[in-house]
Amino acid sequence: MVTIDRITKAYGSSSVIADLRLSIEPQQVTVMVGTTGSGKSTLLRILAGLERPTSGEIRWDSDHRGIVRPNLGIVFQEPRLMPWLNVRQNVEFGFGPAGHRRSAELADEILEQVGLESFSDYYPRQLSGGMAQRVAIARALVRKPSLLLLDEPFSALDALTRSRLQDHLMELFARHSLTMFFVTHDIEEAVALSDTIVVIKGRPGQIQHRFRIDLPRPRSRQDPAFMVWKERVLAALTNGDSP
Amino acid sequence: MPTSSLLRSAEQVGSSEPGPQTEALRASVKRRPRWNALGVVLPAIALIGWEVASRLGWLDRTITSSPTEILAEIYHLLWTGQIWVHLWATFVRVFSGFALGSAVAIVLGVVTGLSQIAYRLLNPTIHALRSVPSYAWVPLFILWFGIFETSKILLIALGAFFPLYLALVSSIRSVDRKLVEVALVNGFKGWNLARKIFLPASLPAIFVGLRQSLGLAWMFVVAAEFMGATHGLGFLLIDGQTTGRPATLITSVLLFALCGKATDGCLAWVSERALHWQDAYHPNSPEARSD
Repeated sequence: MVTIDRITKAYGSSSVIADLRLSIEPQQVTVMVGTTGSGKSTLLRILAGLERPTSGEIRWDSDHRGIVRPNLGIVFQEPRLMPWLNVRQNVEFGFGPAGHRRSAELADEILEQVGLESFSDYYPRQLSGGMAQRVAIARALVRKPSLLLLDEPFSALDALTRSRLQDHLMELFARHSLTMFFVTHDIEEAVALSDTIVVIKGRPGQIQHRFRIDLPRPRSRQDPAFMVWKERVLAALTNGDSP
Repeated sequence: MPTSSLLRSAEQVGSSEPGPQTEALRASVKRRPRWNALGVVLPAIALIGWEVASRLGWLDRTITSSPTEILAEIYHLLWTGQIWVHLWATFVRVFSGFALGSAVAIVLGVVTGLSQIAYRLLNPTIHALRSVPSYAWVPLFILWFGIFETSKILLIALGAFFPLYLALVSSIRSVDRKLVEVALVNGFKGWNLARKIFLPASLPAIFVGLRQSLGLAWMFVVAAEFMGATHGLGFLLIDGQTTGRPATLITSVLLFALCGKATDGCLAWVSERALHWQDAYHPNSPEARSD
């Protein structure tokens, strides 16, 4: 479990997030929904170690080997593939500088799981947006992360590709028993993927609502219960805002 | 249905396919002509015009000569074997200077590009030195290193240093932050970060810098060979001038042009292969021609 304890982040005199407290439960999908500028991506960057909080701390539970240092995987809004590496090499990049003695084999394995085994020799310029994002997901998963961070990973894709990639992600979630922290502004995406939805609002961003989504998986977006959840999250997100 | 099959079936829909542009791009690379015949037209017309003007006596033969006289001079140099002596002397100087200047540029460029302290410490001085005209160094280099090979190679190295250094520093300092973040999250730091991100990301600029450096090495070798050389294309140039033989002089200029073009062509060939991954626009690609 990851505990975010009273995290505040300010740039000069401008606070982006204030006094944020949150627990990310293991083997669950925690989705943070918020409007643009509410600081949700900042929190994810703090979790990834790309930014330091102004105050507060993040506590990582040690794993079964007693190692506190988290093994993180991250998928950004853009695929961020290295253009000089082919698909397989981009996935192997996920092993870090030490590499892995079976890195090529494991990369091929994960590429098969994301349906790109026949594209392993392609370069990023030869891929579509959806394919490139799947390579980015494969790169994050190849190191078997204890926490997978996703920062609006499908927001730049068309609706059909987005929906299909969401389904693929949930298949991978089940297959690898992942713990995911997912940031999005798409309410439907949040309800489709989450075990818990956290609504962050305001400037500085603060957690306003938490919802436990108990819908069975796989979730149908036409299911009336799904629609109800969408309405509830939307109301929580817009409640108190001027029209 | 297994996951991979599900994903594969999804792959067949919409924008997930690599699309025809991928194949078109590959085809365009294959179809790209190796030799652009258009580039030969202008020099050919100029050569014919020159020969005709020379034979008709329109040109002063004391200050210029005809293309056939130049060919005869090249033949003479080849026949006596002198051409190889001069070419070898110049090539050794150019490549020694180019290698030395590039090596120093890569080391200093990487250090200055990656370290803010080194950037603040070294960059203003290096920029100030860059402003010194190349010929201003000649007397100083003769004074410091004599008139033999050391001063010549160091002068060429100085010329080759600046373009590569500037290209390297500027490209390292503008590497995409987003790619660096991916590397940091995956545990790359220090030397590994430089090797796996900064250097490959700077490779296009490095090749541009290398080509400019090589071009300047060929320019600086002329200045270097003016410093008391007994062999080399620069010596041939001076020799032609002092003995009043325009054919020798023009032959030397021609050989400089051919050698410069040939070595730049080699570097361009290496560059094209090393940067095959770039998503660059090719004017002769099918997409560009379709309009």
